[in-house]
Amino acid sequence: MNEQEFIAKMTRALDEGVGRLDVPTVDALRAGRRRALSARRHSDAGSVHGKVAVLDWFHHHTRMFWVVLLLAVLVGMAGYQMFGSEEIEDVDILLLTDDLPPQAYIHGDMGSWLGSREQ
Amino acid sequence: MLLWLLAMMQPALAAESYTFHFWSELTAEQQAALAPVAADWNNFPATQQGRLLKVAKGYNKLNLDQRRRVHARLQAWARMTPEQRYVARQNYKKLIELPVRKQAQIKQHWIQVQSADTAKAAAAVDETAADETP
Repeated sequence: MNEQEFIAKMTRALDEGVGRLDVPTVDALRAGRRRALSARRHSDAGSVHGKVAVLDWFHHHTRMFWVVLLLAVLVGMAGYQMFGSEEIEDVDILLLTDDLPPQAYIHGDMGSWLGSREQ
Repeated sequence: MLLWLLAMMQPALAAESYTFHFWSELTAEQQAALAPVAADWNNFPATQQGRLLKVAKGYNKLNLDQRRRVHARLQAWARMTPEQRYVARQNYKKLIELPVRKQAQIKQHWIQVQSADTAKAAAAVDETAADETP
């Protein structure tokens, strides 16, 4: 007997068996089936709802993510400008107290001195 | 759209906001630090004033010799054009990144150039004086 034949025989036996079940048993089975189907329906709905909730959350948080990212970039740029400005003033003081006067650093030969290889 | 927003905001962020101050509005400490440029102060744009005020803030942390140097150089520094000051800063930053020996070489170059220029100037003055002598 192959598998298909076996399944067909089982199905017939079960169908015949159902026909011989008493009423209380049938009711119990019907109630159980109803409960199982109901539970499955809620599970599916929760699953779908859960997926939607996740997508919804992500959608909202994606916006927030971009807002936070934009703010972070803006703060970073502002900070850079601030600290960049601080650096200018630090260099000014260093220039003014250096061994060489500031005029040395704009001397025509300074570029070539700075670019020449160490001898 | 994000990049467009950032591009639009960059100029606003880049602009440093300094307020113009009359010399009389400065504190005694600031005036002491910036004394060499007192006569020109009210003619400086707000940006230059702001930067010099930050130099004045650093001035208070200097020792006596350093303060003397700042005072000796402040006027010439303030009279440079913004472009010259920018070049000076860039070259200074490049110099301090070099090995110490290379920095010393460059400083020596400068001293030699200065000495040569001074000698030339002195010679030119002597010639002029000689020419004018009857």
